[in-house]
Amino acid sequence: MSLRLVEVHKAFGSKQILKGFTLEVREGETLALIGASGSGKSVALKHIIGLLQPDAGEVWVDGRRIADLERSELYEVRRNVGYVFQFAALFDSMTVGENVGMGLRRIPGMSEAEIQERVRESLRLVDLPGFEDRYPAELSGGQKKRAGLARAIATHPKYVLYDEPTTGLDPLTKTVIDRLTIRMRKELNVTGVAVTHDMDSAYRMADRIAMLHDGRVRFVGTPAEIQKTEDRVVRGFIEGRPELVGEYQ
Amino acid sequence: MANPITRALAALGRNVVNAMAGLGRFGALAVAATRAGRDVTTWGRLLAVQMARIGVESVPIALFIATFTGIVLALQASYTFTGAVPLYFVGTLVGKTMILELGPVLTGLALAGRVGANIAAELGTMRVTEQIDALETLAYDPAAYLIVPRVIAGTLMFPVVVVLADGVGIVAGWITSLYLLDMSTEEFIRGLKLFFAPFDVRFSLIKATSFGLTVTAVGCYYGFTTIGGAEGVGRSTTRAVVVASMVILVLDAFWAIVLL
Repeated sequence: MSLRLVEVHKAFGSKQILKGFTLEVREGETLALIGASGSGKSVALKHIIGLLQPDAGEVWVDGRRIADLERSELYEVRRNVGYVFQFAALFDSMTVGENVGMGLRRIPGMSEAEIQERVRESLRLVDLPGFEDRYPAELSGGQKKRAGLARAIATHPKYVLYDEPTTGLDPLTKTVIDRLTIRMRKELNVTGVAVTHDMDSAYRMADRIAMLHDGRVRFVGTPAEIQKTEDRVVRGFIEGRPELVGEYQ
Repeated sequence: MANPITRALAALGRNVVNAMAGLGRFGALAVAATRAGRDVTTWGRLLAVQMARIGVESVPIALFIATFTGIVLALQASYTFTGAVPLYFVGTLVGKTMILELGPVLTGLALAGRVGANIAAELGTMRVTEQIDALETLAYDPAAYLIVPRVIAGTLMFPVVVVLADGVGIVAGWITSLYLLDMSTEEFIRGLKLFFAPFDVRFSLIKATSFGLTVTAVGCYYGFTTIGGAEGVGRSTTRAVVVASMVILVLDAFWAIVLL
């Protein structure tokens, strides 16, 4: 197993978000983590890269327990993990090219020419060739997401974590982003975890889907399996029927 | 229902807990920044840019304030002396007051607004738009990338700006004395040199250095700990300016007690 969260608990103040969250992500797959807004999907994702520390439980990346790592070791792990933020989180004082090159500048021994070549390659992969000199403010929402994805994959990471990659996008751009996610897996062989509440996206991009409910993983299975499940809560969510999910009534 | 005394005690308790938590967060950030100081490769290349933004770009406002302070000091000194004290003491008062007090303090307060607010707003916006998290995911230490260059730049550049302000304030007082008080340059210089001690400049520099450290550290703290979107950024910016201004005044008294 390449990514593993075991019995993770996390609370913010008196609000318990994760209550024994356990999930394993297999090498080479894209797993969609679905769940209602505020259920803790992004919180779970941030644990994988060490942006949040669990109150209890363990997070393992490539056989290394995140809590045991020194800061320099954590940065080594992070070089293997790309993170695509919900609102792209591009550095607005930098050009797109400088944004994409940021992670590359942390790799020892990379020359400026190699960095520029990798920036061009990453932008080509997300269908943004020639956007190096533009600023984030000059991009549309979909272009920002793609630039954020280019930044995440520039270091050729083994894993890419997507935090709601299609939220707020029009249907066409959503499909473009979903296809890019699939392309990342096929062309770069990345293992992906995508947090989403968009079921169309989840069906399109994911090999497996996990549903987070009440702080725990309620269901894990393939897109075909989740569509056949008899679990009322899961069915209620994927079919948009609140009457099946108790707390929405 | 709780009685007023219980409610007041509860509110006091909450405020004390919040204050202690804030101190703890500030301490944790200070430790992180101190540790990040070792990461010279990250902050070293950003230092020149911050020195220009915090120092060089602050020179116009600092000199504007110093110019008018020098003019007013000369006129008020002349008005106060009213023939009872020799007029060359105008030079003494302008020099001493600019160097020991008004140069560093007024510059510090002005830069608490300009620099402190700028840092808090910039880092606060980066926090609420997840740009600081993005730095982390790209294997950068945010303290090394954002805090250390700003704090070092402020600590190094405030004294430079204050020395310029001291000088311009004195020059403004001298020109005012020449054209509005009918004093000669010799008289003004005589007064200026009368009680001048090299320690005065050191005192001014020590204060300026501590103000630079304070304004940038407070701005970084409030920016880094911002929560709550645009409203949170506004709140952090206001707090950074208010707290930095208060600490400057406390430090001003502290240095006077300790060093004079």
